[in-house]
Amino acid sequence: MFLKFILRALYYRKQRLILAFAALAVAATLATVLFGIYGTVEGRIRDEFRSYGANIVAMPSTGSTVPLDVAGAAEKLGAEAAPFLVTSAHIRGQVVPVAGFVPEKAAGMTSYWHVQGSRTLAPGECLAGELVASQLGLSVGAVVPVEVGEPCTLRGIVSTGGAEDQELLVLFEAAAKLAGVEGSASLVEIRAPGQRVEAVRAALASEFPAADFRTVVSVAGTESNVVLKVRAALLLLTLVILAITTLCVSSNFSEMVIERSKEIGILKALGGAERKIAAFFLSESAALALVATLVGYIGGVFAAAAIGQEIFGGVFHLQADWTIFLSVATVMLIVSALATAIAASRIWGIQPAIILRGE
Amino acid sequence: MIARFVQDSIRRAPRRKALIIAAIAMGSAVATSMIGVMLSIGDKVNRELRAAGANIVVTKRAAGLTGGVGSVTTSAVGSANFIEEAEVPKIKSIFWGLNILGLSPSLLAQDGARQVQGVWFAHPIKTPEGATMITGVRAVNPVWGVRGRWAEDLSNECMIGAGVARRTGWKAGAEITVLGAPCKISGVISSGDDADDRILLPLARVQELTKRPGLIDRIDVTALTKPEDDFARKDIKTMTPKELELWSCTNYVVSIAHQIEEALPGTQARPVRRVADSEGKVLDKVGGLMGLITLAALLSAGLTVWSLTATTMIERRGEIAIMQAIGAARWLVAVMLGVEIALVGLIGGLIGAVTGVFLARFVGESVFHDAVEVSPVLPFVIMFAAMLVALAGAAQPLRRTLRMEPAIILREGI
Repeated sequence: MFLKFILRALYYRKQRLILAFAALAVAATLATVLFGIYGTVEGRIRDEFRSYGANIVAMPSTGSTVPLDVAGAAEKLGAEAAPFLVTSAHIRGQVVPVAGFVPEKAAGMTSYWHVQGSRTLAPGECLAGELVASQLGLSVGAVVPVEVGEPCTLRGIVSTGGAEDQELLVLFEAAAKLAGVEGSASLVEIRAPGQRVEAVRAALASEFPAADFRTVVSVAGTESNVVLKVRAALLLLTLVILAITTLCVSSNFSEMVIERSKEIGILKALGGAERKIAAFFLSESAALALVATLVGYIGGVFAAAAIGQEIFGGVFHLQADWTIFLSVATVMLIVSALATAIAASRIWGIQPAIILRGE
Repeated sequence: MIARFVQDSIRRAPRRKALIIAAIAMGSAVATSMIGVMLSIGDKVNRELRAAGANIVVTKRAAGLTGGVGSVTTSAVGSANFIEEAEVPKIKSIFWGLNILGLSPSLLAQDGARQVQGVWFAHPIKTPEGATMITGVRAVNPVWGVRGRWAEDLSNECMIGAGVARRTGWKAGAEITVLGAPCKISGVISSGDDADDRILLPLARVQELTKRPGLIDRIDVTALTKPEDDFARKDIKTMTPKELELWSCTNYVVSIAHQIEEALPGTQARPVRRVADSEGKVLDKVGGLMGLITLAALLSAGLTVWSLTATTMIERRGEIAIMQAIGAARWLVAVMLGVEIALVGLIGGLIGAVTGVFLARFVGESVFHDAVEVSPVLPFVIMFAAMLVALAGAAQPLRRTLRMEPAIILREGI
């Protein structure tokens, strides 16, 4: 009897219910999208900050080199590490700074380099900074006459606006040979995951007391600042949107009870107990809210994946997260129950005779 | 008569109407605040990103190569290296002068093995508009950590990098001798970059001590730029005059650098790719994310308003049927109801738009400590959009009801 009432009520008021259902489902979709994006936005924006390069630099505190082991230790801690060895060479009578680097290790941290020509280096090849190339009149393919050391073939011209513009970039081994050092570097650039910069720095500093580990504040500070602010903005907007959509949903539910005063009058005239009538309405709303949440959640998961792919690239990744579903369902159930309950409190005050007479 | 109908309809069921107006207002508030925040978040995040340091470096075109890290430094000093300090304020007078947020001219000198750099700590310059702008190394690098305090420009104070402090054991408050003159350390800078291995002195003092009056060798510029796209990377030599104009009138980092080179002949202004390119990437993502969320919020706000007005139309079938039964023409019923809905939509939209402007401000204030300026046109656009959506929601159910026989509707009692 109870179930029949609800099913019949759903059936006879199809059009009305479809509209209420649509509004609810849209709210649930939006909530799912916002929760989903809010949960992943920090990691995704931090990923974008990788292109700012190193957030920790290991420099010699005494002497002029740091041990190469620093790079290995940093990698063990989950960071990327690229050693650089800076020395100088004489080319056509000019003193030119020479930097040795390991292209594979440095690739992630030097994605901002604008290279004209090729980025990859084989032994005997080199890249030249923009200013070096223009001062020495070098072009791609030319042989750079490095005095004392070995000459190298120029594979590309680098422009960065930084120190690299004034350097001749060679493979790490070549620079080590030129400088006559072994097993050490002038500096090691380290890119630690954004949340763990200080932890990684502290761990490395205690492992290598002879080196000076510096946090690059312009990178690390800006990253945490921007990530925190974007996340806070998103959180506030999510709350605003959710508050407003739940208000809309609740007004929709109140409306659904109020417009059925006549029906309530008949039920009461037939001898229906108020509590039972209220229970009818509550379960009807709950059923509607649950189905709408389910539909909205599925829609939301797809929408969130689409937004993620559109903005951050990568694969279309459907992420079913039960905590999101549960929180959306809870919010929807509470809102619908509350709105229905408030409206249903009118049931007690309805006089069947007056309502049925049409007033 | 239409006016009386609308008036009566609102007077007779004020609670109902209030509910609809409130719902429309909520939808419009979401739309206004989302659009407001979305349109300004790029600019806000851009300003936050400016904390990452200079994005354009200006040096003399013929400058010798200097380079290296820390103590491994080769430097070639020739007379061709210098820019006149008096030229610096000219950078503010380029087309995109207002987007230049900070300037930090400097002069590097060598004191034994130590690098000494003369800088403006907080120096006033006159802008072309006649205002005074306080700028210098502090404005360009706001995130640098300082133990102690920033030095004053007109003093014999200096600041040392954390690396220098560690090697020498000097602390803030100590008196040291730099370039043969005494100075008092006001603070220790930790930056993680070159400044960690340098001693910073007021620019005028370094010029005096190195006998290079009025000269500098580098200007760090921090400018508000637009992320580069394919057009920005086009070679200006191959552009048509129209393209060149468009390119110069866009605040790409390359076009601002180009304008600085024109304002200071003989210099080269190079974008710092690490900062400029990365900034563009982050901005693109944040902007795109906000754009799509806004789209989702707008869609849902629109759907909510639409479904609400559709619902009320379905409920008022009986009323419509009675009007038709006593002889009202279809167009008259449609106009009467249309005017009513439009009015409700406008009122709801107005309340919502005003609320939305305040919500956007609130988000701006609490997150970025800076009000989000909403364009004055936006509330009007939202108001009319709310009206149109409300009308669109009502249209279909209304048309269906008008086509039905009034007798059937009345008999069924729905």
